Amino acid sequence: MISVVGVTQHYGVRPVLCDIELKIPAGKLTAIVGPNGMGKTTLLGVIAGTLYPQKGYVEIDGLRRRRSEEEELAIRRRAVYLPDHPWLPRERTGREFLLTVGALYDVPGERLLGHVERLLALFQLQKEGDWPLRSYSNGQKKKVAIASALVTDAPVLLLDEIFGGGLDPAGILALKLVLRRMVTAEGRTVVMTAPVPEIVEELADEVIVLRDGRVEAHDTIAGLRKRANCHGSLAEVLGKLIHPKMLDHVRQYFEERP
Amino acid sequence: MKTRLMCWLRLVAPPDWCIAALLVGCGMFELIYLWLCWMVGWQMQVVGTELFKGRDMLCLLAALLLGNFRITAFHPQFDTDYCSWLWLSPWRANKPLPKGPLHLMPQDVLMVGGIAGLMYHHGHLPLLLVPLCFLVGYYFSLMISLWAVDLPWLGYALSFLTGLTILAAHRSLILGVEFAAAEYLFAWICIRRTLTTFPWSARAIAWRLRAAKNRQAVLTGQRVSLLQTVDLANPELEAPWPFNRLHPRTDKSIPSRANRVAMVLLAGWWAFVLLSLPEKLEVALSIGWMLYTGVLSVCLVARLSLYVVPCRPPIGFWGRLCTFRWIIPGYDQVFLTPAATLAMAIGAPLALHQLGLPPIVILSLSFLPVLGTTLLGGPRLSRWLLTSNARLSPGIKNQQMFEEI
Repeated sequence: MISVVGVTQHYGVRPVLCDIELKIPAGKLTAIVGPNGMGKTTLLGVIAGTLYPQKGYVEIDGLRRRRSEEEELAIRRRAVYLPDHPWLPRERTGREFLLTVGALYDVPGERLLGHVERLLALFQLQKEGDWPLRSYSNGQKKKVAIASALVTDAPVLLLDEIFGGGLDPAGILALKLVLRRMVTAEGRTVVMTAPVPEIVEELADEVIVLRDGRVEAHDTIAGLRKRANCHGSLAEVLGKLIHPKMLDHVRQYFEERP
Repeated sequence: MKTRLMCWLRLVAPPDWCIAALLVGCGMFELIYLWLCWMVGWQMQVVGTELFKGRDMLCLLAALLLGNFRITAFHPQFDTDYCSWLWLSPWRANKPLPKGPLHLMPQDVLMVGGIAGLMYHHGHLPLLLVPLCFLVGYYFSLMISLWAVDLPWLGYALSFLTGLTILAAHRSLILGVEFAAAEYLFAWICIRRTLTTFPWSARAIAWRLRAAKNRQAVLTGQRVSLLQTVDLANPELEAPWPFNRLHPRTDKSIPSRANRVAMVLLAGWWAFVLLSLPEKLEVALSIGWMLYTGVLSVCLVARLSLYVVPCRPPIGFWGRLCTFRWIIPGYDQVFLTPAATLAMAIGAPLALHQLGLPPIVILSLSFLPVLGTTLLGGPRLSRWLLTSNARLSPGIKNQQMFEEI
């Protein structure tokens, strides 16, 4: 269970998150959605511990972030965070990078070697696994970055814009199946941001809708449909919840065309 | 006979090119002297003695480097491949080291004598300085090796004794050589202790691997992965953002509080030793103040870069101003220690001056609060990195090493 309690965050004068209260259940896949610049990445950063909120706090499985060294280390062992723009070591091979991250999280040697091999196969990088990362394409780099989060075996995965960055259809499909399986079969907790409603609809157990730095809704997809009084796709539901005037804007755009 | 003599000498001798360089250097001085004598006449003898000062300094430097070589070339901790091989071999501490001994041998006496011999013709400096420089270089390297094999307290004691030897030599050269020779007994015990504790602690192994990596990076001009295999023992050294800041490991290389206290005391002691050497008080004081301001600057920059680069303020400067959160206690505590260091750096010499102590002692003692505040002032680095009210920063990106996707 991830608890976000009264979190307010601002970088400068304008608050990005205002008094956020959330309880994200364990063993579920929760997606954070919302318009651009409304605090999705910031909220994930606060949960991941890269940001320290001006007010409020975050608890993961009953352990509070940054309260004590022991608690923080215990959280770090449990949760792995993959930002939208991670860094990759240019001269290391994909395999070496994954081994490094696995060792960092104390994954036992034999198990780590096997897991890295399976991850490279999963993302069709067996051949490229022994090439330096600088020679990878953008999509391949994204795949290695995703694999680096998976290789840690952490029970809590915090993934920012994981389906972006040039992933190919096979990579997207593989990732969707892996995340679904991790949640249903292994009971892991996944919190992710995703801009594509179709993927969220397919994957998420729960959806957090952020708007103007506040939680507009936190519910299952069925619950969101009920709330929006809309039985269409999630894109339409979100359109109603977040951009109620969006369809008017589209109509207006074409009607005002000379 | 000649071959056997060469083999015997080569056991601890530096590479041939080093010996050749020294001989050529000294030979150049002799040639310049002869040329000047031939051009100007034998009255050049007076000027010649000035010329040979350079040769004498070269010889003293050679003795110092030879002492350094005797440890760095033969100590397993300074050679990762040798150390790994030794670990796998049936070698034990009671057997000779395969690459060459760490303790002094008769060959060393011969080589030091040889260097002294090079200084004999028109020698300007006392020949006793040669063995003294050799032993000081030897003890310094041994001291570093003791720290590297996780026997720091022996290293601190040896460092203190070396300072004492230098002070004694400053008073009387013979006394200094006697002190240095007596110190060798302690150095010998240190070497025995080093060898009996082989293969050393996990921390020593981590230091060795880290040093080997840095050495390779320096030699090849880049910090990218130059080792054949990834260093899985210290993965945090290679991890890029966000793993470099969010990994679940604590930094074990940070010295303990007792070690830091010892380092501060030793720094004060060495400041006193070095400042006691110049003949004139004005020279000592000008060097001392330069050293003092240099150490102060390094302390401030190092402290701030260690604490502030990975952990940035939670909100920006304008955000603070506009939201009237001018002081954020959970973050701004990081600036207290540098501020206290600065205050100590100004206040300590003034306070000590009131006690009427000699200027050299005042200056040497002033190093203690400056370094003490920097090394011992809170918050602890490991606590700060884990619990501060900071925004974690990826750090300064080395474009050769990392790329952002």
